[in-house]
Amino acid sequence: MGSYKQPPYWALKVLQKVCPPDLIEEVEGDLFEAYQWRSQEKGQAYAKRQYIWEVMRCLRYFRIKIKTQNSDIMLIQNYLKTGFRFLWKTKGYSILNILGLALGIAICWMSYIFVSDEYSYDSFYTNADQTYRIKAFMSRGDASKAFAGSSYIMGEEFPAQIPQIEYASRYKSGYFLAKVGQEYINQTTHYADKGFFEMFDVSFLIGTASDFSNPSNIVLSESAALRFNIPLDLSENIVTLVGGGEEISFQVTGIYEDFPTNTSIRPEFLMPFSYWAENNQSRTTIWFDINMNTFFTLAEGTSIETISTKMTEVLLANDDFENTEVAMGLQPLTEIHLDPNLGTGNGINARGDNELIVISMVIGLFCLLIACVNYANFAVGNYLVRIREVSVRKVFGAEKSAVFKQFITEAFISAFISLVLSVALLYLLLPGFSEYANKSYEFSSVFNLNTILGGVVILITATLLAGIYPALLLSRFKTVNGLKGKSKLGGRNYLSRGLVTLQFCIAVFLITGLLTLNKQLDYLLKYDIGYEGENLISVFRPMNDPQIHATFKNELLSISGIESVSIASGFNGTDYVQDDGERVQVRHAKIDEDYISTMGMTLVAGRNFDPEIALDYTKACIVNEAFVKDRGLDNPIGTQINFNYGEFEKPTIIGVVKNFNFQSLHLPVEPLVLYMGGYLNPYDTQIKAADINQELIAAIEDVHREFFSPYPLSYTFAEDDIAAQYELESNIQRITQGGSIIAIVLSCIGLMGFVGTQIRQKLKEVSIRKVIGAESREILTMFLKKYFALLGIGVVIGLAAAFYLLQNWLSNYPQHVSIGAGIIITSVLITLAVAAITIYSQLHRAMGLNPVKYLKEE
Amino acid sequence: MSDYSLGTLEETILIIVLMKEESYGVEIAKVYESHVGQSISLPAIHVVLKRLEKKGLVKSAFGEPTPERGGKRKKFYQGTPIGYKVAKEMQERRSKMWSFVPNPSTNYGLI
Repeated sequence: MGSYKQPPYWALKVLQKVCPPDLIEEVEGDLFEAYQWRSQEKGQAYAKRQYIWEVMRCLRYFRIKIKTQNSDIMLIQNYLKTGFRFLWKTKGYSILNILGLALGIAICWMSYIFVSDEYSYDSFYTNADQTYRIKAFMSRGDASKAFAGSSYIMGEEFPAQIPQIEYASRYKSGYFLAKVGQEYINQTTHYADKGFFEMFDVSFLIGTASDFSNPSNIVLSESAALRFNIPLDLSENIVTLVGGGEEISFQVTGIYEDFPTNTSIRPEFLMPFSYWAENNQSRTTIWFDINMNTFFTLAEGTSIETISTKMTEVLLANDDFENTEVAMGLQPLTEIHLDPNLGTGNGINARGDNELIVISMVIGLFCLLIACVNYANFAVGNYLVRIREVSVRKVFGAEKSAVFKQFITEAFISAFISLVLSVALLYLLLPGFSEYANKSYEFSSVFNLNTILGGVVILITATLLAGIYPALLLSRFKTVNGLKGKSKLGGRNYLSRGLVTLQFCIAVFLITGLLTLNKQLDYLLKYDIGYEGENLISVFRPMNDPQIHATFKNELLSISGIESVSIASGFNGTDYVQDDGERVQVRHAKIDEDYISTMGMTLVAGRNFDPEIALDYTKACIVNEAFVKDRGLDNPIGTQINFNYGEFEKPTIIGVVKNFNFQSLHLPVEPLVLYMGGYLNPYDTQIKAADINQELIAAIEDVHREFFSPYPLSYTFAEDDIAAQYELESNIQRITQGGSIIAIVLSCIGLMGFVGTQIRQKLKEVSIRKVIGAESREILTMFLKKYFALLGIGVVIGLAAAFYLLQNWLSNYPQHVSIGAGIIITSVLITLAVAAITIYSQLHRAMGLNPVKYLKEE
Repeated sequence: MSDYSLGTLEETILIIVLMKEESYGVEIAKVYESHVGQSISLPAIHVVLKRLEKKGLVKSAFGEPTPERGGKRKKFYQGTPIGYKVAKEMQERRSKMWSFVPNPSTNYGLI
């Protein structure tokens, strides 16, 4: 035997699987012999190819095999046939049922697409598992802080001193004006080191990164190259940027494929760090100047702890932190997107929102659950007519498990049709969803393997959820009763009732959630942020020259309609040491005397800066209430603080401004020091106008051009900025709204089916009652009483769950509303009203019926 | 014998089976290739043989297991008398029909 060549094992297995037993011996033998013969005559590769091909040709036997050999599969064919017949017979209900299920599946599927996309971030890089970002911890006394980021020199020295680091790259964003033709556009750029290209599998369409260390070389992504009119053969390869007021030419040495969308790192314009270092000499040697990200790819099997300890050692050998404890650490690349504790920025794309993920998961699962419960309830009601069929099957020898399989198969048919329909629903829903989820999902591109796999999982889940209950119920039904025609299901149908209760529990939960979310958002939007955003325009333009600063301001003020103008710096962070040795962390900004009035802020104590007083430029500051509270100052005015920033030091507090939200509205207001002196570069021009209109903007543009041509005017409206801060909340709100409404509609469909079934079973009872003299109203009350008890339980449980979870969520906000009686009453009323209408729509028939019709049947 | 309608492949395979006392799949494939000049896949032969057997034109029996077949038995096919008759009639009918086709050199050139 050993001298014979063995055909591919898997193909043989396939052959054995598909061939009916009376054929297998002949076919297998013939193929084996032919394999020997062919490998001798035309070589083994040919024989192998031919063998596999012929096995494929044998697949045709499979049908024969299942038809003749497998009674289970034969039965399933029968189940499919009866299933389709029954669906067709009860068209109306089937359509409603399948549409409901399709909606549930579509929502669940969409949330699957979203959630799996969020979790897939950055995991596709070859080195994803061994790649990390530097983070650091600082602690002093009780206060500790973790942040992501590193300094220039860390990215230089750590890889040099720690051999386990295989690739290393710093990463930082930069902003330039880029010249395209005669136009200037704002361009975000990223600095990186050579290791970046290995680390993130950058694949070049042309050129390489081998010359990347040369400060005048850059590489572009394909789409950026297109924008800059750089052809793919690099026959033209000069890009002009404006930096520090002069135009600089860069040479494009390579074009790489665009990064995929599910990554935190998507540079389209990469510059070497040598360029940054040339322009920031002073910052290349400071160890604890955290202003960029650094990524490391570690050798396989290296533990994070070892590297972290080594990094800390290197850092402490070079820098002294007195009594503050500092430790370095590493954050896995794949966690960056969803870790809420460490920030993004500096080239890292905005983080995913865990809240939105949870909400869309909850809504997706709820919608699927409700739809499946609907299906089960419908099915139980509808299957009553099939008890005789089931009984006959049983008499002919079908076991319980066979009946069970039959109804699971039927559930599968419905679920499968629903799945197909849900693809169409996805097509309709996806554009809206992706807008609110800040994604760019395209219908054509979301259907990858993963999505289809998700669809299959949902299909199986839906089949089981929807099918198990009716299947169990019908398979356990007593055969004799079925044949006698006793078509009432045994027991009091507690599970059906329980399921309806559950649906309303979910519905009331979602309504309460939605109302609370609305209330919180309204509250946030109306919340006193400490300044007036109305008719306020922010113009972004750095200006070094104080002379230009003053004349630009005057020119602006001469435009009619402009009330006041202030030019300020951004808000930076620093710390200073008090006389008692305590290190104080504060934010600080350079403003001018018009800042407080332009921004519509209120001074709660002291006075504003006065340009006439020379000391106000060098020795005075205004602090905010948070600062006063943080330092525990009883009498802040006149207190001298040790604050220093460059030459500006030890100012005296001359005023206290009411807290205003200068950072994210989601964060508490931090202690702040404002001053007029110092060397911070002002770049934020705030313009308060009486009214904003096109002419005003055009006038501002004219003045701006006069001073800063060729730079384009870049401005925002403060009101938009504030609204943008709540973008996430309003997106969550819209998604919740959509999801809740669908869930409630689905619940109603379910209730309708449930009540409808019950009433159909009771038409005789109602008829007798009517004959005896009951009025429509009494019949209505009778039924309503019955269902409202169920709803009541559902509502109470739903409210309790909502109350608990929402309190938790609200406590994330520094300022938040309480849930309150109003919301509870409203959501209960909405639920009950919707339920009452649904029930009435079904009862309507029972109330108006002609008793004779149902009584004369027997 | 018009009850038996045979396809071209069926007819060819039937003739190959009739050539010898008994033959099996791989052998038939080899003979087919040498006479027809085209290669043929084994499953195709198997399907045809099954069909012929159903029509009663060939019959089959298992032989002994041999190592060159990976220890599997051969299935030998043998033409039945009806098979022989059907095949023969088809050939005769065809020869007869062919005899009515005129010689190309005399007619075709004149039209």
